[in-house]
Amino acid sequence: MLLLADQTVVEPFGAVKPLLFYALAAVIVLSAWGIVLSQNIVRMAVYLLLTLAGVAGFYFMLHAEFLAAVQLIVYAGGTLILIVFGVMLTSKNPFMQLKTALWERFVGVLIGLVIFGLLLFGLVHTALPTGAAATGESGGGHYQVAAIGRALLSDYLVPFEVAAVLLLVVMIGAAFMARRSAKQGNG
Amino acid sequence: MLPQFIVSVITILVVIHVILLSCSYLIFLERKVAAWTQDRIGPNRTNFSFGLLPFKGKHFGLGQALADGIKLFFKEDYTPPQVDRVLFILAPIIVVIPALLSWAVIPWGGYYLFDQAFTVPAWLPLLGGVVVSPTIVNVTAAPINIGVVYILAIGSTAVYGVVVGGYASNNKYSFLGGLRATAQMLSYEIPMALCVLVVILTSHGALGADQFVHQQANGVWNIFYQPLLAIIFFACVLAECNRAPFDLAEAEQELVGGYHTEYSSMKWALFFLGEYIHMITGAGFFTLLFLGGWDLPIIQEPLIGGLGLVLLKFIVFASKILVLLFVMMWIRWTLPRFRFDQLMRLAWRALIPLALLILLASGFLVFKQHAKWFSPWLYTAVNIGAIVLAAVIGPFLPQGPPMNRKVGLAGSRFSPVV
Amino acid sequence: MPEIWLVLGMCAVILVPFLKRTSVALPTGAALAALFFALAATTYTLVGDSGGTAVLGTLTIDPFSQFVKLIVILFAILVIAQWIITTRGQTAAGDTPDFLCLLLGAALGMSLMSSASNLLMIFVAMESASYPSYALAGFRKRHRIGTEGSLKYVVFGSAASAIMVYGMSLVYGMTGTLNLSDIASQIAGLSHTSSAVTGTTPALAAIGLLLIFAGVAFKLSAVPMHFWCPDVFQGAPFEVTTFLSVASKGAAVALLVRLLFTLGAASPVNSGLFTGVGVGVAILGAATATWGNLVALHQTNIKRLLAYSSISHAGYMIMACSLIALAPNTATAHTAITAVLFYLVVYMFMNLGAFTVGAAIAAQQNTEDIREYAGMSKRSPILAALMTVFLLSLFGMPGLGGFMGKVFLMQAMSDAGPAGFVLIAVLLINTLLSLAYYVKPAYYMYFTADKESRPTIFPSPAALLMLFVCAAALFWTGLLANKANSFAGAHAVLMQPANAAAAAPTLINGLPTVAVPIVDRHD
Repeated sequence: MLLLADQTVVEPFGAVKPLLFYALAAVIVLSAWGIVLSQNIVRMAVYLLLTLAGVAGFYFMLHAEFLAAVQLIVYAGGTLILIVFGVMLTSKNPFMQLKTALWERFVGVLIGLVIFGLLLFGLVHTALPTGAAATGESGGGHYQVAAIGRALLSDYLVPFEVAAVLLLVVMIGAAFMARRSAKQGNG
Repeated sequence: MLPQFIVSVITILVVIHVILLSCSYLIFLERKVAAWTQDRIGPNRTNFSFGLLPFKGKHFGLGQALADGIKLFFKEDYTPPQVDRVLFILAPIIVVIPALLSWAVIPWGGYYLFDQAFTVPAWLPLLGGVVVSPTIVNVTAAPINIGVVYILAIGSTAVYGVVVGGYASNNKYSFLGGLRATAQMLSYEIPMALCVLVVILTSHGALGADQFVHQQANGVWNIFYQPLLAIIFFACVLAECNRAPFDLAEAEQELVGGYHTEYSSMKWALFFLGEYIHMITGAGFFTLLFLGGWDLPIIQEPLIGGLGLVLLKFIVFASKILVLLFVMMWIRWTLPRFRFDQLMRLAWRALIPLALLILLASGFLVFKQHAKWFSPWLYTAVNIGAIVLAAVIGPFLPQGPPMNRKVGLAGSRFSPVV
Repeated sequence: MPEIWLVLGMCAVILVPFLKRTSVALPTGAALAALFFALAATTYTLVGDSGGTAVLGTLTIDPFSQFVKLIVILFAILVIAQWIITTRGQTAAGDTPDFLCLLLGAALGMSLMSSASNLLMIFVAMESASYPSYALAGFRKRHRIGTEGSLKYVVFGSAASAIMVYGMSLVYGMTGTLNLSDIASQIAGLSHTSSAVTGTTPALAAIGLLLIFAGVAFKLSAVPMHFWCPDVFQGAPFEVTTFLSVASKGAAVALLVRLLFTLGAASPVNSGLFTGVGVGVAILGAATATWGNLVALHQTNIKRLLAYSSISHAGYMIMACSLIALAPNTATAHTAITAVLFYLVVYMFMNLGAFTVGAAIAAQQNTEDIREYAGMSKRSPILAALMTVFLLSLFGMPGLGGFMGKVFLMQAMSDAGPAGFVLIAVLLINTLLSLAYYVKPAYYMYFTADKESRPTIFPSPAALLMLFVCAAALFWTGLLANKANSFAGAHAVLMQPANAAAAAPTLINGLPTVAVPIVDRHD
């Protein structure tokens, strides 16, 4: 690109990278625990924001800048804020607590442990790739974006268009659900 | 990559300090602009003595900014009972951090040339003794390749501080302020992103912040190609900053103080700091996209140079931002506030369709950009055409729901005749 | 491409009310026209093509997919007909376009599910089948049970698709491709090479597959993920329940068949992973069928009863699908797929008939409780007789289509060796179990006197016509089954993955070097 094609990526130093990784991992894991243990839905949303931001940080570290930005725009800036908006519009008591029964917690912990065990088993028994081939470090973000755009409009044209239609249908469904209906028949 | 790292660190340190200090003077400027608009004088007495130091004279009232800051520091930091304590403390932080993060990709000073090799002093940790070879670096904190998308992404998280603050205060007015801010920011993010999309499209798919400046420095500023788009974008920036006429989240006549009603002292000040930082970010973003960044018009300045050139470019960039900030303040003290339905209507029924129209037409032009008849000035024609089209067919479009429609005085219950 | 017609139909249905706001006929006509065009397009490709083509790498058009699409689209037409016949005038005019648009959207997703051959496409297709279904399930907004069912559906569905996407990401991470046949050959290669070289199996890929199957199991309402089914069926209006019970499950079965078939085509014979998948699917099917039948035993609401019945029927079909993985040769797989297709056709008519009778009774007597059917043989002998026919067919009475469906399933199972005989045993026990609840409505209709002088029910001529058509189809498939079966057999042909043989990818550190699906990174 114009002038600095080979220099446009800031490369942190060897010692900084693991530090950054562990710091981000700590943020992600701790705030994920926060989501699970918190009983207030807005607090959950804030913790979820931290988790999402941490994951976006991982993407930045892997030089998938576009993915990171999309993660922030779609999840943090769109989905999550709509959840908060919905909660604020509908809840009667602002500090509503979500109570869970003991057996529900028990089942939840059980399912969590099973999935965790499964994944742990998978991780232990799979030879994970190492080196540059594994992280797929590629050129700058500009090329990534162009390639994503091309892939969306060539190989993945059908899913792309179907997703567009899906959004339309969902919008109609949501509008129907939200609409005030005069009189509903059929039972 | 080491030279870039060094320059990035220096840029971060310089920019943070310069801008945070100037924020207090922006408040001073705001008061002066308000006074100018309202035909008053404004703060002109406070000097730098603060009752302790041996300074004489009035110093044009410049001490006012620092005095304001000191006042905020020493006020009682009161946390009301019944608030959600964690979120109440977290909210001002969430306001400031994303606002600061956006500066990371703004190309403040173009490129800097390390024209000869040098060795990092040995006493520095981590880097001591490393030899730096001659190279060119960006005077930016983080010169990532998707700069403008990054600003959009960070900007989209800015709303959380306001919402969380309004929620955590456990106060109906704050709550309403938070709700309004959410709806407003969600709505205005869409035309804003569309504007950025058009500019990316017409800049040959550039995404890096420095590439935009580059192209405008070599050609014509985008504001001349896309005047309407620039206006739409500026309106969105105002809305994203919660500035008047879009300051419904803190409309003091309706909501006491809006989302920060319950805040005091430095927590309150952080909210305001956040607003000013957002203004600077927005102005910087606008400068980047439409006003050619560090580019001085007419003069063909060298692209790469030493410290002097970088400083010059920084000053040019900062002056453009300052002008835009002045315009923002001017607008704030001139225009009345929107009603909420007007606000929504402006976004969904005016800005978004117009931006979409321009996107469509510009896309067509980009598709045909190798044709013989193509000229970038056609973008300008498209913009003007969009204005004309809106003016012509606007009155024929179906009106919105009849609520809040203006009722003629004659026949209404306020009519003096009846 | 019938999907294009469905999309056009959706647009037409939304736009038509601008012409005349209160018209019901206009959007209905537009929707039906679009569906008929789609049907014609499907039949055209059904006749015209015999092999199979990949469309843009994400869709596969082969006889199998076209056959399933035919079922889905035909069923959508029948459901609209049922809706017109039974609830005419009860849906507000303003809601008609929404209903039709959602129905068409769901049909679009389901027909895409039948030909999706790419993980991304599978996900998008499943979502576009699910989301309209969520809205349809809550179509009676004022109805508390309907809203509850819809909410449960949404929550369950989101969790299931989250699980599935996670599985997809694991599989993608391990194989580096989204294309199903590439994944199949990669996994086959992975398990082959890694077991030979390092003695480990690609556990993460297997877990990914497991999670994907869990997502499909949700759509099938297979047992651990079946909780939504009865609540949704009970809460939704009759036509929606009918549609979901057949089309949604049919599409999911088609997806399952394609997954198993494509995975199996590339995998070496008797590979451990693939046999494991087969056994897992078989157990899933057996558990689903048994659990559905057991719980159905004490249901009194006709919709809930048929919901559990549909769970058990899904179980039968899943059991047959497992044969694709378990079978020692492709001929058995072909027989199994044929049997599943045949079963699907029969099941469509049985369920449509049973639900239409239920809807006709509910429309006039305002009840869904089968105990309220008392004395129906006196009050409305034709309806009672037809309902009995449909229920007996669901049970598997000889002479009716349901019986032949089960016979073909068992025939396929018997080809599969000892595992097949276990499956046959499960199927037979379940069939006996199911008799107990299928005769229950018939018992109330014929052997219980009506003590409360409930109203006589006169079904409309159109409803009777539809019911007779369904019954005739059942008798036809029951008595002349071989003809129908050979028709199904001709279409039980899936496209063979192109690169099934070339399952030897280069490995770097245990990972194949497959480019990320990006077309051109140097532009």
